[in-house]
Amino acid sequence: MVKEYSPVKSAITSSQVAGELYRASGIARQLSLAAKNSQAVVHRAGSKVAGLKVISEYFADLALKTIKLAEEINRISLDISHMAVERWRQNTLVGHLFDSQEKNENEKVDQIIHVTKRKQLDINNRFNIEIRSLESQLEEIQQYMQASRVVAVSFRLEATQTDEYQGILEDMANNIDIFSEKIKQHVLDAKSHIDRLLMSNI
Amino acid sequence: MEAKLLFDDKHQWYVFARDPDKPDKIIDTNQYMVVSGKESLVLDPGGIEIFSSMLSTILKFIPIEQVTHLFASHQDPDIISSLGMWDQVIPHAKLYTPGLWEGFIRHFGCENIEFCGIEDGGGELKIGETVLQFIPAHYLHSSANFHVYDPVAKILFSGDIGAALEPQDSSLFIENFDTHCDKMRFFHQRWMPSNEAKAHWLNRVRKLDIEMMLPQHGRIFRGKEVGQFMDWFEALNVGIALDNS
Ligand SMILES: [Fe+2]
Ligand SMILES: [Fe+2]
Repeated sequence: MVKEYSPVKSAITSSQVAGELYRASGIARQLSLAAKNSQAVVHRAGSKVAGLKVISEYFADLALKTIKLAEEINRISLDISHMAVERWRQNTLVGHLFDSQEKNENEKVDQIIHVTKRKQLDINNRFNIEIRSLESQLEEIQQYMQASRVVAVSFRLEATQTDEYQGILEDMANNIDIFSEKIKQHVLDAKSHIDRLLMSNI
Repeated sequence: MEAKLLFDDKHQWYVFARDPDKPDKIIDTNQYMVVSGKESLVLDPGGIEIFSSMLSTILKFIPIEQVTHLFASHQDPDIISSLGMWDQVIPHAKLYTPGLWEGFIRHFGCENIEFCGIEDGGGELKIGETVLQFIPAHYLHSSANFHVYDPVAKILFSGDIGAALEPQDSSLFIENFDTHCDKMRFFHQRWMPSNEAKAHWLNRVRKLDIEMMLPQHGRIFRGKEVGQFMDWFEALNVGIALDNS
């Protein structure tokens, strides 16, 4: 038997996840701006910070990927919340149909119950699959944030080897840290919303 | 669903509108939200078809526990047919709506949410630190109907008054008042039943200091457009179905 989570809780959870990822993608855009700035600095500094060229390109790429993924998760969680509401409406309908059957057994109504229950099953399966894939995408974005922390470390290291750009590079490293940490926090919150749903009973 | 901050000081006003996931044949609606401290009021939360978009859009800005109050200007399905769903996601909330409509609105499902009927004369509601006023707008179009005025933000939420029928992707704000009138005319002439009620309302709201007027359909009025609307509405003959039938 496939597990069925409360449609009310499912609708709330997916909306909460969408909200977290909406905020995360806003920060990801700031992260991407930081990445562009770092590329500009590296460009200006030229051969003095040669080691940074590769890492700043990697960083810019990572920031773009983060925006895309955050927006993607936001979109998927919106789909999931539509699905949850649809399931909720079907559940309500089936409840009413059963009540009607109790008062006056009717073959046609029985058929409708049958069809609706099949739809319910189908949408429930889809919901369960989608919510799992949401989890793995959240996982992925967390890994991006780990990688971004590594970028910050490289910036700091490189900063110690230049005089002129030391301040700028250190600032950047700090920015990257702050943005990555914020995004990570939203992702963690999103995950804990999902965990709470998955651990709940109807 | 598009979301925009309309007023941002000690408290905030948001508009939620132009939901791309809305089925085509249902009328497009504007929803609004006032946030003050840890409380908030959702104005005309909308139909059941846009419920999931509304829920997820609201949660972009505040956690669910802070959705404490709902307001329904009147009983129409585009205003409040989502009530049965809100009733389960925010069971501790309160619904402010014309008391006259209680027996009707409860058909949408209201088992948990506290039903707070507004009396015909209007009243006040405190959301966080913000005091909002319920302005009577009876028979425009609904027989028991309220608008919401915020004297600090100088905002009037005007329900179906000021509504326009427009395509889904139109702007939230009026760009040209004169051309906009064409999109409002039929709506007001046909849905608004009474010239007397209209005069009553105009007399009342002209005394208010309004910088923004927010209708439940169509576009937002800003600055001098508010006065322009009132003059236009005053001159308009409403209740036209009687002449046409
Ligand atoms: Fe209406
Ligand atoms: Fe309406």
